Amino acid sequence: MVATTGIRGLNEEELKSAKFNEAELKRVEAWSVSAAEAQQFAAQGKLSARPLEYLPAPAAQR
Amino acid sequence: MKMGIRYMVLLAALCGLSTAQGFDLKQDLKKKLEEAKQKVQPAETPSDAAAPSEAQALLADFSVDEEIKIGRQIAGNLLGASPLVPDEALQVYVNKVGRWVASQSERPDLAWHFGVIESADINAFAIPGGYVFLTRGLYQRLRNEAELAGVLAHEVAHVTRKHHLKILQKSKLLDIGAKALGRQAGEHDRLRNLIGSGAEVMARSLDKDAEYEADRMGVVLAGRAGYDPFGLPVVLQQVGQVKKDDTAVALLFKTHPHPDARLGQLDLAIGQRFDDLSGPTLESRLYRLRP
Repeated sequence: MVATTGIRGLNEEELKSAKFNEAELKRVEAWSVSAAEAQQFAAQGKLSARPLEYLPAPAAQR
Repeated sequence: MKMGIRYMVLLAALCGLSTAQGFDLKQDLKKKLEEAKQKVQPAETPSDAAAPSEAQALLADFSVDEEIKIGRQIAGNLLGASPLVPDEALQVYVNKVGRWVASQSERPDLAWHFGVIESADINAFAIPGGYVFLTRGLYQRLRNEAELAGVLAHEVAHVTRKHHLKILQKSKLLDIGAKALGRQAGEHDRLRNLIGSGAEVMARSLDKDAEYEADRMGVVLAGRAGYDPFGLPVVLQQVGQVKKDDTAVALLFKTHPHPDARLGQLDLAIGQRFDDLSGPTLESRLYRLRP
């Protein structure tokens, strides 16, 4: 049975039996944006990049 | 609001957390390589002289091109299970947020691709090569752009740290015994042999420390991008309230530590560090999905 309608879940079996969908892959690749476009979008939202160190794992702090 | 989160986070921290386990992949790989060499050497003849270097090649990391090729195959398979939500404005919006967050990572030049897929589940997927997907079910729970940025940042961290690629690297090495297949089969078969069926690799659990690491990196990447860094913890807190037997979280809860444990670990890692760090949540800019 091939489910074609409705929004459903995504379980392990469905992931295993999934078949390659090139058309959808090309769509998502076409919607990609450049770093420059993303920066412009950030500026529109008044977001500025700032330096911030990664957090050490809690165990390393002990 | 942050005080509220902290309080919840503190409660979660009291729930007892397991200790960190080592994740020494290289050691593991080296051991496997030695085993592989021992298998190869007795049968070695002049025509098999390349065998040790083949084994060496297996130990080497994937190149970026290989990573992207592997990622495209897994992403295409995942989209075969759940297609994209057919809303271009949504998808472009998610790509802008995701790309901005990814620009703050160690791999800003990867060709990043983000997408919302048709699934009522609450989940998100990080695929090697820079493919990141979240489900409609998760997207619909988001209340502002900082939360979206936090979720995407967690996935970007998985890609940056090559967490799933390392799982595949392990299986590549385990497969050395079947190297005859590699000689006779075409590239497509080899790829299939490596990643398994469909997008099954996305149903495998990572080491829980890899999840905690992606959470710690996620809040930092969102913070670096200028957002309120607490977007991810807020989403975790909300998802943690979903009943454990709800099928929408079945796969997420199977492959990840419970959100309460993740919040507890995050709280320990953040401590007082973000007390002076704020940023917009951009609630008004969040793209609202059509029902």
